Amino acid sequence: MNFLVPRIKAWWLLCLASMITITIVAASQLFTQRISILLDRQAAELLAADMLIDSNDPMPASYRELAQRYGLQTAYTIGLRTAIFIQDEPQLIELKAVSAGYPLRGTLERKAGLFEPAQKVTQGPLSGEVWIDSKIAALLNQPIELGMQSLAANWVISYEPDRGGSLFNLAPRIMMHIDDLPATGLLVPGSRARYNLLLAGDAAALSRFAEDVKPRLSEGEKLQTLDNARPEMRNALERTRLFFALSIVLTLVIAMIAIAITAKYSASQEAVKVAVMRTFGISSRRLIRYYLLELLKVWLWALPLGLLAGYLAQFPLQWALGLWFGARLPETGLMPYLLAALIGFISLTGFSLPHLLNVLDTPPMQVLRQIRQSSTPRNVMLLVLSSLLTLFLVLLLIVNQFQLALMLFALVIVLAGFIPLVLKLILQLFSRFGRNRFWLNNYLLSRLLSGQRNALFVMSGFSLTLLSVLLISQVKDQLLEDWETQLPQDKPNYFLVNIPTAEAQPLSRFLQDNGVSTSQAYALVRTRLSAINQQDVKTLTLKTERGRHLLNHVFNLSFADQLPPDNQLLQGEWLDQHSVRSGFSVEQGMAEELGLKLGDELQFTLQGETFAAPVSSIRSVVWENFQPNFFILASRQLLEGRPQTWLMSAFIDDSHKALLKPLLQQHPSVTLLDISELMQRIKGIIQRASVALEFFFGFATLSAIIVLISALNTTNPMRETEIALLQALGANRRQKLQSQLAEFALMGVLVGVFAALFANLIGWFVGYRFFDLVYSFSVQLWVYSVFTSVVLITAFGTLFVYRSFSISPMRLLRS
Amino acid sequence: MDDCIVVSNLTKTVQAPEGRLTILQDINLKVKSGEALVISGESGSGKTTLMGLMAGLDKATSGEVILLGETLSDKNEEQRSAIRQGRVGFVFQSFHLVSGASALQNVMLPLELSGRTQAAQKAEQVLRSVGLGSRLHTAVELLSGGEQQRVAIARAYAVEPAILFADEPTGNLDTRTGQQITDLLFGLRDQSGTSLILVTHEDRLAERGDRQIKMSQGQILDSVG
Repeated sequence: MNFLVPRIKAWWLLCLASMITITIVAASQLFTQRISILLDRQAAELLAADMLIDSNDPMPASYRELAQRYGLQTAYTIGLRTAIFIQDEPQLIELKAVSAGYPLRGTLERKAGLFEPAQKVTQGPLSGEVWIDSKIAALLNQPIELGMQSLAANWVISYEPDRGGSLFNLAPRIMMHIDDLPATGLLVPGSRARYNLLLAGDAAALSRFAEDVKPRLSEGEKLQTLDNARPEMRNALERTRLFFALSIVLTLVIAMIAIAITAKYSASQEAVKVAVMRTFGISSRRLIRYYLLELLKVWLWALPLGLLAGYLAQFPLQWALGLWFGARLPETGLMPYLLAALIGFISLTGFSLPHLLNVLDTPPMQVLRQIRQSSTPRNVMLLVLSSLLTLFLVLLLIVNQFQLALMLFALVIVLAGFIPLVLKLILQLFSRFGRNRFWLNNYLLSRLLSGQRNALFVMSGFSLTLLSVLLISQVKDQLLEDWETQLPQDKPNYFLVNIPTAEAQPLSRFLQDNGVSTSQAYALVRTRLSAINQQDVKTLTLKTERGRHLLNHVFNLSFADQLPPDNQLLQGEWLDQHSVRSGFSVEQGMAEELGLKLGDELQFTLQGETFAAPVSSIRSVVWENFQPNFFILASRQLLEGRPQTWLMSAFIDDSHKALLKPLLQQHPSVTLLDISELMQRIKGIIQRASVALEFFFGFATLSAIIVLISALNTTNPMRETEIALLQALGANRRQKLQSQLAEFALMGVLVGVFAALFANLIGWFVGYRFFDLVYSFSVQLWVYSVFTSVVLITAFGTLFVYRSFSISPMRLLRS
Repeated sequence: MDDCIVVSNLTKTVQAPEGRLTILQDINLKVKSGEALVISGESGSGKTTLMGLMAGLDKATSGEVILLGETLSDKNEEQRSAIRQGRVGFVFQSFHLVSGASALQNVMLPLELSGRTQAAQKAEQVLRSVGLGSRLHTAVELLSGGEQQRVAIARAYAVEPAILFADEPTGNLDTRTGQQITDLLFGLRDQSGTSLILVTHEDRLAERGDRQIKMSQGQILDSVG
């Protein structure tokens, strides 16, 4: 067994740093993969599935058979519009027939009566049952004529996970079992129905299924995943994923600083041994082989320990997050472990080998005569290139996208240069003050500025960690609290849709007279995009799934005399009611997907009639504001006189809920859509992601502590000499303690101030630039930042240098 | 003239892999105030250990050291440090200056540690006296070896010590610079009347002392002067 023990001095330290890196990669990969899968699943509730095929016509059975071959769960839904009679008045309804198994993701909620408590159920109506919307709750326990069938309504639906898609055209819902649909006679060839095949299962199987089924899909059949579903969801998820990627990168960078510092120390400890071996005539080639083997041994020690620690880290994580999410975290494969092993090896050799080669290149006499060794330019170049290449490789392996890896690499390089530079400048600035005294302030500053101290590395590592934690916290605040607080107090919680043109004004007046604030009323004209620049959209080929989806989209066109709130004009001009010209204002994302630019002509078809106009402006839309938002807004003159209904949003608080009953009685065709539930769900996803991230930054803090410990180990002989010198010069115990504790405390203060300052600056910039927020100075952030860093650095620092206080000053005579 | 150091029956042993190793054996020695005592001997003879024990930098296994009238054997490290503060100076072979600090700051350090006022003025004055008036604010790592040792000597003399211990002060210097440092050390000793305990293996340097003791295998072989 002895031959397995590496023969590198301080190998255990290198092993520890490597082990931590492997642990971080394994744990973070396992963690993020699990959370990512879980978040997808949580979000998938909004589709009631992981994926679905949407079609205007019945789908071939082969799709379901194919899905079953891939081990996926399936369910069918059929949606169609029909009318029922309520007190002899026709009422348009959205009928949804669901098969057994629906919903595949998420739960339905139903009530036995309008004011009864809601029950969560995982299965839709059974055969013979009918569930109805709360808007028509008056029909509960009464027979409803659905085509040729009369069925009794048993339950009120209080929550339906996949309700929506387009929020604005919702008539009251009636849900029934799919087996009961044929008997109604409502579904005949040519019926305008939507057929959905819902799919759920393992991510890999879903992906393989998607690849397999895509070429088989006919026109009008679309594969829908969460990514090409609702824009507000897509934005939330994209931000969440980006945060995760960034957090891993930041944590890893800090872990790699730890390896780099430890590798430098380990190599320096080998200098005498190498010099002696060189005097015996041992060749460089043989020494390189020797050290490669020794590094391999270090890796072999670090690997099982790191993987085990990464694996064990799952349990507290699973416990904590399982409780939070109310679900068991899904399993992952072997990939995180393999990746951790590979990254562990690359970072160990990439950072260690150049330092060892540098030692091999040093003339033995320099080492043996203890002449301070300086690296040759060739070796410095080798060290820099190897470190950069290692860093880039690790980033590439983690993010798995060349372009993103390159961007992150550039970011890390900028930060790696910027943070130490700023810290150094601050230290140099401070050292200009109080030149008439050396002890204690300037003594400490001279220690921190000493290149051999690695203090700038330690402070940079901690600053980066703390800055990341603070930024995540700030961004989270902006995403959640600020997002909410920036919305007015009376932010909309209801959409009123299907408002007949004649009722729009009276309805708005009714609400406002009763103290309810409403948005402007928007006309909705349902139409299809038929041509772009006179080219039929059917002949257009678009690269992205989302682009194709948009082409097949039923557009709710509207018009507005003024640019709607939270919309920003990016290009072109806004055409108001006074404009002679007519045109379309297109949302930025849609313009990008369809490749639209100013002046392109769009042609729409409505009931066999077409109308066309050029794109007159491109604007950005804040989808998350829960105001009525539109992909395309048209000039008033293009839509006037066309079949339309109206839409408005309103804030109806509890004290005004009593208005709803008379409102719906006076305006029976209006559908009231409660959007607060959707808002809560999106908030929930962001909230969970940010909690997960905060937990994850515990690993970054661990890395920063390893950087500190590595640096302390590296500089320990130097510290011991300094303490011995102070002792020889007559310093008492208090002064010796001061020299170390105050140094750590000063580092803590600098790190805390740096992190808080830049977190505030970046927060201000991001808020100002992207969220249009007013900057608010946060005292808590500064206190938290400085307190955390001072406590962490001082506690760990003292723990590691404490033994140095008993060092004998005789050391000075022996060195 | 009083004795500033009295050493009686001093023995130092350490635990080595092959058993207990005696480094110093039954040493008896007195140093008069203002005397320049040179301890010489070959490598491993115990001269540095003896100097460390005399300065209270280490504890003896048995025997006694009285430094400036204070018995060291019953004192802990903190108390021995208090005895040294402001009364004992050191010059080391490897200089042991505070890197990153200027020459002036290095000399200010022991003055400030012992609570002296106007440390900067005093340090500047001493540095000028060792010929470094033009290098006051230069970082010590930018100075030559000889200049660094001058800073170390200035640092030791700045507190106006009663005793100055110098361990191989010319060991890391070339002959010419070593000669200059030797002249400086003895010149300042002559001016200040400070006792000088100097450890060296160089005969040329040893001859400059008022008294020279030669050590071998942990014992005093010979005392000259």
